[in-house]
Amino acid sequence: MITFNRLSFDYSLATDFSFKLSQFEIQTGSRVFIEGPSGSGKTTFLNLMVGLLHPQEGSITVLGTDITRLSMSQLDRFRADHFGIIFQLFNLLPYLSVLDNICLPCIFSNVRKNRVFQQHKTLVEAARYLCADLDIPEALLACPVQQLSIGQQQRVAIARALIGQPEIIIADEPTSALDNVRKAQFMTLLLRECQKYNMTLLFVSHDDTLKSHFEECYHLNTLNEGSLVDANRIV
Amino acid sequence: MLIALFNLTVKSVLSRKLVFSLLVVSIALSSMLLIGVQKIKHSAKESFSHSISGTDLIVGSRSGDIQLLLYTVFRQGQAVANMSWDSVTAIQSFPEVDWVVPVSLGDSHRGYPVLATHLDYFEYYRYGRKQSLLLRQGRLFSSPFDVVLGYEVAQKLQYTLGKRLYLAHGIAKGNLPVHKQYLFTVVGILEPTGTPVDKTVHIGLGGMTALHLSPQKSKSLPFHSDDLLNEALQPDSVTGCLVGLKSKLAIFSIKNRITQWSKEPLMAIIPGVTLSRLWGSIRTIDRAFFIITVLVMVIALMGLLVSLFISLQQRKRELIILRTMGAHPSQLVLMLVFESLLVSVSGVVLGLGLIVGVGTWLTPLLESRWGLILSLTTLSVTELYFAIAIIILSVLISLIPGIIVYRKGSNYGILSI
Repeated sequence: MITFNRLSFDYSLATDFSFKLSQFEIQTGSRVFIEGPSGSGKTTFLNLMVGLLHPQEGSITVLGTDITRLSMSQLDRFRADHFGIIFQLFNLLPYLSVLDNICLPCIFSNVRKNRVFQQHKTLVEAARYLCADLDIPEALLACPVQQLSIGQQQRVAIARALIGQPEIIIADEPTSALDNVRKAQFMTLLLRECQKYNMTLLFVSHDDTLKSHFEECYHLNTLNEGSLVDANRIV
Repeated sequence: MLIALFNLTVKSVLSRKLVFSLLVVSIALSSMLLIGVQKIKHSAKESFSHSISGTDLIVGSRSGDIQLLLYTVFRQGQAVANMSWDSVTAIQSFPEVDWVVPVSLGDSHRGYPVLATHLDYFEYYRYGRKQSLLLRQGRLFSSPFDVVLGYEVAQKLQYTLGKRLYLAHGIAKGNLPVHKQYLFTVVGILEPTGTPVDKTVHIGLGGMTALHLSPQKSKSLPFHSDDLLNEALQPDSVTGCLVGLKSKLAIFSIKNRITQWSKEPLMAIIPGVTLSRLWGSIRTIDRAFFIITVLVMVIALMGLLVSLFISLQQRKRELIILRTMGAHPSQLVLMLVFESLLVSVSGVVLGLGLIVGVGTWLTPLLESRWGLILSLTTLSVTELYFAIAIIILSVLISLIPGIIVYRKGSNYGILSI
């Protein structure tokens, strides 16, 4: 479970933007869609949740841990152990092969590495298993990711987020650069994998056509009590 | 974790092959220059210190030890007084003495000093790593009026075997009175040594004696026989003598005995010790080398620092991705340190390789042309320290952008991508 309680955050002198959330909960294993236009604080919300931003007030409890009380190194370890992140532009490291990109999170998380070793002999074996599951051709595994098509890069980004089975998957506008066909393929794949491993999925996007894939949908302007714009919860 | 981060750094670095190669080449050239300067300094000192070797003592009239060294070895300055031939033969008769080579100085030829000596000079005089004097052309002198030229004299004056020449009285530059009564003939030219021998005109002791005889005595010399002539031209005194001992253990006792010589005021110096003192007195050269070395190192490290800053700008996205994946800012700094380590170690190894490569090609050339002995193919402990210092300083330098990465890394978020 993820709980935001009396949260208050602002960028101090940088902007007059503020993020306030008196109470918000995400249940374990749920698929949550957060909608919001550009500038509404989607990424601020995600950065707060993964501990890359620190609120001035309030608490964020993730899997029973109040992450606002953790030190920077504890936060980094917590993020590495429990969050799988899919970025807007996938952000695969161009100099690494497909396999190396997928195994990357396990460098920073012993928890995820140990989970992998419970089912597989090596990280590479786990990465190969995920690739097979996500229809990434075997021939591409040793290739640099730059040689992959957009569709293949999507799958590698999903595999990277899934390796070591983190409890929470965060997707930050991963479909914003995709056409409708690819968007649908991506959503099907992501939801299937999250369901398979019983992961909590938090999907942030400005694209409201994706709402139909989710059980819970929220508009960020509603969630953010610091926002000047009134909006409604969608569901 | 460390190995994984190192592997990640290697892959990241290899993805920027051009920048990495340029950086490595820059560090390699700087290392080569740095260690090269050290090697040249060391070799210059070695070359200087080995202007004479294998000689245990140099004996001359009592003056200063450096002065005695300067005029007997470097042909600089003049002796205060001569030592008698009787003293030379007396020293020769010491049981501890293996050989004595008398030398006489004071004359010159077109600015090059004349050294009158015995044939034993060519047998016992050693330079560098106890190397003997070798003839490049011709033979050693047999007549008092034969000349053996040092390599540079023959080269600069373009003298060949058979060339006939006059010697001048005195060693100062300018118009000197010429000993026109005797013509000398070049019979031999020596191989280059990189020592003052190259700039010396060698003649027999008899030749020097003949130059300074009165016209009446000159007329009565037995010119028909070289042996008789040599006997007739036996010197009464010489400038000094080089002494070789049967055992090094006797050096100090012989030195003391000569210093306390009652028949005339003499002194003996140990060439190696006095050469070190002389080198120590010209510390400016040492300082100049040191300043050059420090400047080269500073420039190389500044180059590395600038490159690291530029690479940071290019790698911002990569660092943010890693941070979001759970990398602590200190791990990003560690990757930067690894990168710096890779660049500096590769650069230093390449630099050393270049020194050995260039050295293999250059050493024989320098040795044959100028007699400069460079030991470029081996690495001394000091040079090893310099190599290690470059690596350590490179790592320390990388901490400057590292601190920036640490500070910025703390604020990197998904937002930044």
